Amino acid sequence: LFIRRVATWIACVATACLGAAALVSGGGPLPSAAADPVNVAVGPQGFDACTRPPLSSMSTWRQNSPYRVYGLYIGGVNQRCSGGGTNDYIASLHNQGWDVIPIYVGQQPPCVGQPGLATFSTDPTAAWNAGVRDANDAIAQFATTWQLGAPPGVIYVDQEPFNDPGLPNGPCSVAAINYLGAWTTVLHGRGLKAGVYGAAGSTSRLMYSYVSRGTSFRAPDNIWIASWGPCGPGPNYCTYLPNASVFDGSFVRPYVPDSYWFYDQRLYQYNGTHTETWGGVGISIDSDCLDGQVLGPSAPKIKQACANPYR
Amino acid sequence: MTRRLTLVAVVIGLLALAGVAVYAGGGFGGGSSRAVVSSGVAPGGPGSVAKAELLDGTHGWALGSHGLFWTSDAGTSWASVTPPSASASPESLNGVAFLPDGRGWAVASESASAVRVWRRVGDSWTSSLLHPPAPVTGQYGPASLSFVDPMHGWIVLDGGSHGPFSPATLWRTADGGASWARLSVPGSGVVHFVSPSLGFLAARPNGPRAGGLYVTHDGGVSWSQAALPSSADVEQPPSIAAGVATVVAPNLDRTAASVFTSTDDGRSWKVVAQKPAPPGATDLSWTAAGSTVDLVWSTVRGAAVAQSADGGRTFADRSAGGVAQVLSLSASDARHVWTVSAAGALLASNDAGATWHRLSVP
Repeated sequence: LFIRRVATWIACVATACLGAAALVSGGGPLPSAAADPVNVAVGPQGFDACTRPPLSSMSTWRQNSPYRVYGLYIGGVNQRCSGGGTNDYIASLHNQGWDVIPIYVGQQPPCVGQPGLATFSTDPTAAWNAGVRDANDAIAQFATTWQLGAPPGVIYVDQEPFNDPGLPNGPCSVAAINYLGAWTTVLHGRGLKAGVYGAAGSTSRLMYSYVSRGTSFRAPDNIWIASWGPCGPGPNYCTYLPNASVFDGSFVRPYVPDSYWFYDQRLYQYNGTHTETWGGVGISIDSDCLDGQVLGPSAPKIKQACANPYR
Repeated sequence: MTRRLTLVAVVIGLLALAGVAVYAGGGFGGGSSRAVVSSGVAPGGPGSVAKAELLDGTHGWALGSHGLFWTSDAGTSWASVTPPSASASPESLNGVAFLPDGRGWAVASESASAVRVWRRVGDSWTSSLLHPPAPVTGQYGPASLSFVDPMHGWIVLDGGSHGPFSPATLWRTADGGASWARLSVPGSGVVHFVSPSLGFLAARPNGPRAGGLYVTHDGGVSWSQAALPSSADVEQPPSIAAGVATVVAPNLDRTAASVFTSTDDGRSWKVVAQKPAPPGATDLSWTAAGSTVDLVWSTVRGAAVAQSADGGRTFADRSAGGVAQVLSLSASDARHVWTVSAAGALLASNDAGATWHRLSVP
């Protein structure tokens, strides 16, 4: 793995990868020699759940499931899940051996598909300010939730699918990119890593568009791409996929090419809410393939749960 | 949703095995006069039964990897009633409901922007397409169906639940499913109508909209959140008996279950009692009929059963009967019970769970 990593970076330098990455954190072209990934999972995956599982269930899953990372909702104006948790709960999760993905469900783009959500304005400045407000609130929630002596961490903001025929330059898209730029800027200013959860066809594609054009958009450190489909023709066969890949050729690559957020900077939600049973305990979850930053007991860590041929 | 059905099944199954008279009206399982409720089809492996429902002593249906089947002789023989669009992929069925006379309805994913609603009258299926908003990330989720009679029915179709979002659409028919009108709904969940006007929804959180129990008094046109006296995680609609609606729900940290009742069609609720949960409780299932309330906590090591004979005011712990790994179950009355095992086998009991025999589903 070390040799492969060194080789990748040598090749990266040779193709000006670092130069591009310096313009926008998270992006950069890949060496062509590394463009044939082997999509094989190499480790435990993650899940997020709206209803906070009892610690006894988490303990059972820790022993019996292929999951080792839990997506925890920490707040936001559009968040009503019970995942907030207490310090004791989170400490117990860590003691059981779980890593955590902090998720903040902030304001949504004005053209978000689902009705009834709190949205920010199409005015770019107002959208930026909304991003600043949400980022600061997320940090406050984060500090309140944690208080575990875990200084720098990573927080993911949840952006729901939106419909903008003018993507990436329509008013809604421009507002969204301003909101997300503010999110990252504020988190970086506070010493935190930034993550963005978004649908492959809207938020993820939008960020890729701005990064690839070398704009001043301050891209997040991690991108969490939501794109379902590999689990079967209907809703009832969604299940754990041991070979899920953050570079899925059908559901990820068409929206975000491999050469962006390629180096341990991706999470991939490949299933929506469904129930899985491990060790006799069923939990309603979303499934996530991980190759990016999560939060360990005392510091952020890279979780390499899925094979990444580029490292 | 599948988990809720599983737990309900465990409740009924355990009580049946213990020789307890199980109320099955108005909710999951029940006699010929009850409303039909079915939601979310559980997954199943090749050759296995994923879900089954016993509608009365002789009629029932089973969904497996080979299709949807109907029996009129308590499972001795089966006839395929698989809707045409699902013949090659039964797993594409989002939800199924039948009445004991064989009328049936099924929802199947058709495309990324449509679902097909099948209705079975006599021996044939006819269908119509519904066009809900495209699911947010590509797939429609489970459908919860509720019919109070052959004409009046409702479908809550999950629009792709994920994380804190559970978008859904509500559809209503007054002509047996020949036509459907779209209505709004707070979020995805399990729906149960008592009459053409009175209905309940156990909803998941949906963005800023809280999850929990919702009630409608106008056939689903408008919904209001039930004002329960204390916080609780309502995952199952109420049971109705003799004008009393009963809901049992765990509190948010799963340390106890609260019993709520309403005598004014869900407009107001009171707490009858709280029952502490056993150590290691993970989820709660319950059933209620008149003054009888039964609870089953699912725990990491198995199940814990309690029964009340006074409307939930006091509970007595009961033996779990040694039953485990039940995937789903339905009861037409206290004696006639079906259960689907986690291994995909359909078992039947005609003596309140004292003995079981396996039904051979194609």
